[in-house]
Amino acid sequence: GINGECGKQWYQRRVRGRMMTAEEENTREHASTVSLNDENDGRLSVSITDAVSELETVKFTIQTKSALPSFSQHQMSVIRCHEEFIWLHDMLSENIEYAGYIIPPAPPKPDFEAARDKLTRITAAESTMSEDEYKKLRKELESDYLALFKKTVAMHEMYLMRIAAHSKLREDSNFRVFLEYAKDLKVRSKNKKELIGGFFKNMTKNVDEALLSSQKDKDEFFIERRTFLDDYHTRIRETTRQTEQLSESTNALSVDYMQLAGGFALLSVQDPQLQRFMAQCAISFEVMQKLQKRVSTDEDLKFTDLFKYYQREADAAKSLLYRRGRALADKDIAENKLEKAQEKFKDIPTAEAYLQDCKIRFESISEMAKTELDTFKVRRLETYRKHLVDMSELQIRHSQSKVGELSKGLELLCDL
Amino acid sequence: DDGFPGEEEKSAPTPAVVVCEPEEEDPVIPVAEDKDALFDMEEKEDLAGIEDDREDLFGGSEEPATTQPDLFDDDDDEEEESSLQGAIPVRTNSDHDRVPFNTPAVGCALDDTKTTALLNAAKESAQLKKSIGWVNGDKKSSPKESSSIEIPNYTKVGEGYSSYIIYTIQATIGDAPKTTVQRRYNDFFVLHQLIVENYLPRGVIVPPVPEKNFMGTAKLRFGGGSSNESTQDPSLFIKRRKAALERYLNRLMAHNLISKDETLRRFLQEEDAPRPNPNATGIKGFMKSMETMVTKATARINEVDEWYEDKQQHILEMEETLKKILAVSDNIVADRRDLAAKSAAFSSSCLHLGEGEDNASLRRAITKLSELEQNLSNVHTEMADGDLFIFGETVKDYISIIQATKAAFDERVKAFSLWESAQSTLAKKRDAKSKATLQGKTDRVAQCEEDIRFWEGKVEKCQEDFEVISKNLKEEIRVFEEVWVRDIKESTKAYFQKLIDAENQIISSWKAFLPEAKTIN
Repeated sequence: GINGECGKQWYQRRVRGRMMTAEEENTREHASTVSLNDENDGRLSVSITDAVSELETVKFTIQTKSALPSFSQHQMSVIRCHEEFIWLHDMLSENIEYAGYIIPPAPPKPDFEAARDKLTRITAAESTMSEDEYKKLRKELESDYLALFKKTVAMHEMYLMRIAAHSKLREDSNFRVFLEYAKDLKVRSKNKKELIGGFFKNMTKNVDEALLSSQKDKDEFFIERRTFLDDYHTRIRETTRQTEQLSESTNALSVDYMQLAGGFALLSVQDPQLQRFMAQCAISFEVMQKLQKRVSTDEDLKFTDLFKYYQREADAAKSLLYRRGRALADKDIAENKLEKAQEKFKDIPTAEAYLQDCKIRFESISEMAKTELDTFKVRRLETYRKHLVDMSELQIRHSQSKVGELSKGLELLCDL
Repeated sequence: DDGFPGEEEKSAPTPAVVVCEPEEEDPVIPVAEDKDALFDMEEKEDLAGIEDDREDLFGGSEEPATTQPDLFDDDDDEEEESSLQGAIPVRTNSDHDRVPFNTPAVGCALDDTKTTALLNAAKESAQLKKSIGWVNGDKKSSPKESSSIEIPNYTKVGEGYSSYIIYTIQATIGDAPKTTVQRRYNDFFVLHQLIVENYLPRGVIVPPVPEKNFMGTAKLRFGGGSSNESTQDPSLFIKRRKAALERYLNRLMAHNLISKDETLRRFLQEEDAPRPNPNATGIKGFMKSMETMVTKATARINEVDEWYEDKQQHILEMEETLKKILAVSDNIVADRRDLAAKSAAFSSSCLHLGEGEDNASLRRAITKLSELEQNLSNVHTEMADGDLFIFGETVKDYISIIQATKAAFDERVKAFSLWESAQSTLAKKRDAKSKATLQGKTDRVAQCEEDIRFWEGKVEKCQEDFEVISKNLKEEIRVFEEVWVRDIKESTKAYFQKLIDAENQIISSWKAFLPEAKTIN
């Protein structure tokens, strides 16, 4: 069965092969890197060149080419799993020096559970269906799996590129370790205690945010950005939902095409007068199924993922504003403390020093945040642009293929 | 005077009389125009106690006999001429067929099923007699005129419960000028019943009429509900029905024999629609359908020609496959409509998103995306109609036509049953004669000899009829297969074309959007 060793190898072989050859347009096109902002002056380029799915995890092969002095070599290659990405994200989030940056949102965990369930169901039902049906279902499952796979690779890659493009974050030592260190980072997923800890941390953050929302901010820029992000977040969440539904609906049609092809095949077998005619129809609709599936996959990759990603980015930007708000609140508290100290003539230097720290912190965060939010805008424009242009080109290509196949089929049918 | 030719030893209790006399004179050919002549013949028989019921039990229409072009007008037709009235099966000549079938015996002889069966046997064979002429006529009969029937529009008449739809039918037949009539669905249904009555017994595959649809009609009558959905539903229902009715009429006109049918021509050309057979309802109709059920014995035909069994098998297979394909087709229609809906929803959410964008070029691009998706939604909706009308309806039609072929096969089985039962009755008569001979009842023996001669003729006739209907059926199936292959090929090709057109529209939409996407800055 699939869950055994041979199954593992089957997936490995299949997926690896696909990644290496540029058969699928999507592979080809995402390998041509997503250009983020121009801070990536070519001195650091990161890409995921291979990916292997083992039973429970995906292993990504990350290749780095660097002209930066901080790296020990010019070229390196490592293998990382998803947990190691999360480790990196945590390291970056917890670093107070980066409080003024939008911390790139972590890529979502690869989730093949749905595909695995489907596989178990199909193998269990193998005896009840014809060989043809079984083959078809397996094929369908393969392509589902492949699509999921490509998605998760794309998202992990995007994450790394985002960091690599950030002039300060790319200097981060943890990032370097991530890219360079040949061995396993020995990162384990969070244990229960840590998970609960993280949960509470989030809770307090949310409460805090609520309190801070009534803050008196004197800076117009940030007030406006705040409003924009809150609003934008809501809208994009709705759009994401609609896109997911659209992609599913497009996919449903591809399943129908397959079944129609099956119907034609039956007619071809049963009716000698229609044998060649219907056989051709079956062929054409099998091709239509594949193409329709690609349309659906692209809607998923180019639309759904785009909007989901920017939902996450908007969240990250909101986190930044929260941190700034936190720093502002701290500064206000420090000012109060100083006043009190001055009244009591006690611990004034300490209070003054503390206030000074808070001021510096607040101002640096504010400054960094301004830049970050501006680049956020630029990045968004570029990413949207790329995705929408790619999507258009892909859709045109898919429809042209469909027209091609149907026209060719029709020509043949007219002779039969 | 026995009521029944040797059937029972005791005298018949009922007044219904079936008497067979050896016929000396030449049979008189009943002329179509002179309907009364039919009944005149009857009076020659000894019909004690039977009221002369002028009502023609088989009578198709209430109208007096019309001048029907003789369907059997064919020089090569060796059989006796018999002029045919529309749906009225005229008693044709037969040396042996002296049973006055159009007596009210059916109505009053309920207590003797044997009489009834006999009468029916006679009735059936009279009907089948027609087919002898038909087959011979088929190849040499006047060529079918080209015709085209259209239902260009419809109107709703009345309000609420009593409302209905009137369809306008334009018929162009041969060189004749175009005619226009108004018909409602029920008229079609009546027409269908009349045609089935007339042609099915000959082994004809009668094109099925679009089915009655309570829900659709109810919605229509009380329609115009609150939501958009329900106003769409009735109109889609009407569109489908209109198209189906059009196809139905064209199929009728495509059939070599049916296209020349008087009732059909009346339907297409005269202001008033043909009326239903009055005997179809009421007790006589009930008896008739009962009889049909009885004679629909599951006779196992000892096939000399495997062709019939093979064909039936093949047709069953085809039916199964078509049902599968219809299910897929329905899914496609539903899914495409869903896709249209989802595209529209996505479109409006894009619009919403665009409004929230702070960058002007991005805002415009996303707004354009919204427009694009709305266009795509429209393409999908249109394509769903294509899925339905071009492909799905054809498949659906053929599933119904297969039902009609099954009915035709059944008719052949019925004919076989009649033949078998005639044979068995003949055997019984022969036994009765032997018995009577042994017993020395000379007058009984004479009677038996009469009966035997009658039944020998009957058997011969039934065999002929069976052979004729078998031949007809083969031909019908041949035509059916030809038309099926042609139709499904045409539909499929048209479907391909429609898909191509839809995809081309999709290409143009995206091509229009692409430059917009590139301008994001």
